[in-house]
Amino acid sequence: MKREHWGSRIGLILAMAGNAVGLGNFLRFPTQAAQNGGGIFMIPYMISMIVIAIPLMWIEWGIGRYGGVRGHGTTPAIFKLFWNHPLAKYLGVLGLFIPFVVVAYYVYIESWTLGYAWMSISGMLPDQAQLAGLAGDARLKPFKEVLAGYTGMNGEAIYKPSLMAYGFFAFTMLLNIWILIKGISGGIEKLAKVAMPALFVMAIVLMVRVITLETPQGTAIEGLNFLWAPDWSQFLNPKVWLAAAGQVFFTLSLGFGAIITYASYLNKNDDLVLSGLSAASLNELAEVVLGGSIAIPAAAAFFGVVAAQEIASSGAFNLAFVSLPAIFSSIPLGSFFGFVWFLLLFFAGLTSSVAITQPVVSFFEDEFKLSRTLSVMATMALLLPISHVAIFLGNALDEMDFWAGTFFLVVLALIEVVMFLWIFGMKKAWEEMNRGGIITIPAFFRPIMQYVTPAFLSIILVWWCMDILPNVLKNSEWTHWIAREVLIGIFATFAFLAFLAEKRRKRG
Amino acid sequence: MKGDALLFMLLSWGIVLTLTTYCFSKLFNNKQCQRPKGERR
Repeated sequence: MKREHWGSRIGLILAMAGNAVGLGNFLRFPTQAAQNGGGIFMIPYMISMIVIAIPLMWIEWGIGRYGGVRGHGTTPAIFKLFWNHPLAKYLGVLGLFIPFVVVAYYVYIESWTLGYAWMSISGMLPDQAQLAGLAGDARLKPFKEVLAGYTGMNGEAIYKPSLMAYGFFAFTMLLNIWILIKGISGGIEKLAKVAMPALFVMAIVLMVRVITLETPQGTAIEGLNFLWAPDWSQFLNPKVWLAAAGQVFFTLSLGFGAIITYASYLNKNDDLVLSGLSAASLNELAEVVLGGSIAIPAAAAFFGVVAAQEIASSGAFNLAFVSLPAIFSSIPLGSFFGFVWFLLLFFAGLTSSVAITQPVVSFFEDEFKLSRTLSVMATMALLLPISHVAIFLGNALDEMDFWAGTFFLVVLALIEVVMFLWIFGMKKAWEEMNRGGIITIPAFFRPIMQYVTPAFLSIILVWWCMDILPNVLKNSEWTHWIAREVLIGIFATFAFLAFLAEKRRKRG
Repeated sequence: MKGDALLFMLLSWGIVLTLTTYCFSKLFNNKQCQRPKGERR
């Protein structure tokens, strides 16, 4: 069975950018910048981009194309090509485990954005008349109640989501399945060609509307001042540097295995240096220019700078599903702008969720020679029960997000660097990455990739082990333990499948 | 806007916009990119 290929270079770049541009660009970036020194955050952010993100991005593209040419799109088999040791495939299992666990809860959150888009345009959210006379926290309270009612996240062990939340989840899942069945060029690439331009247009519309906001509490310009004013006292704070390194890591979707799988659908001599950089630049455009100019400036204009600081520190969900709807409900054509905001998030989420589902689909296609449709169905048969754990089991979403969506990302990235640059060899890896390049990777990246990137990744990992891990392990309610057992079960299942796949390969 | 905030915002935007412009001008001026590559199978 021949592997698929991308239909066009621009389609590939938009799909890769779609993978990277997610909810984090519009929610995580502004809250991280606001909490970590404002403008000063951009210095470690840009440095981390050069020493971690861009090198790792090229490494993942290189690994993916190398594997794809040899018929493999996922890390269990690709790592075996670099290191012929039984352990290699089990290390590669992380490249299935991470995207699988993340997509299990990500699709659910993505479906909230579609649900909220529907509620905005159909007038189901609290409107100006209901909010008359309310200010500050009192104005946010009705929206907090709507979110609690919608998701059923009530602080108890078992969540009770609304029927509407479940309905939108089912619809979003079906939409993902339909796109994935259509294939790389017929589904994912076509989606990217429509969704990415639409996403940028919607973000620009919102940015223009937000920048012109002015209320008695403040203006959007004050919000930009708050977000971008450099707090020099934070410049040497290691937490700020680690937050910036974490942000560039998440924003380019590194360590998920998705870039590797997408790049495996390249031809042997296709450019990856400029294509990768172009996809990364689109992601940065969406994050730094557009992501920084919507949520926080809007919050400052409506609630004042002091309240905007509190909103920023209360987290990304609060900003997206409580503060922003409250703001849009107070402006002319608010239901339309609310709809645009949530549809923008939905498009950002959809292009990412198909990308992170693709590794497991490719695994079934490449290693078990299943048809596209059967591979998607097999993936969904495994995925649906796990998604239900995230939907109904209290604390499961946080637990999954920490292990798969944070901790193991860095572990996998470090393994990728070691496998590709150290075991496969720097010389061969460098030639592999540069082959067919429209531009070549500047020579100064060679020592950065080989030494600085893994050193930075190790520092992040050690810091997290000392700073965050003990707090996470302190959580010992039964729901946390069930979630952890589910995660171990998922890893064991993929390890067994990788074992079967290798046996099958050996039988020829 | 305050001077230092404006400076940091414009510098950050400038870096990102310059990178994007560079990448896409290189892409669109490259012969490989003027026709669709790859094939649908």
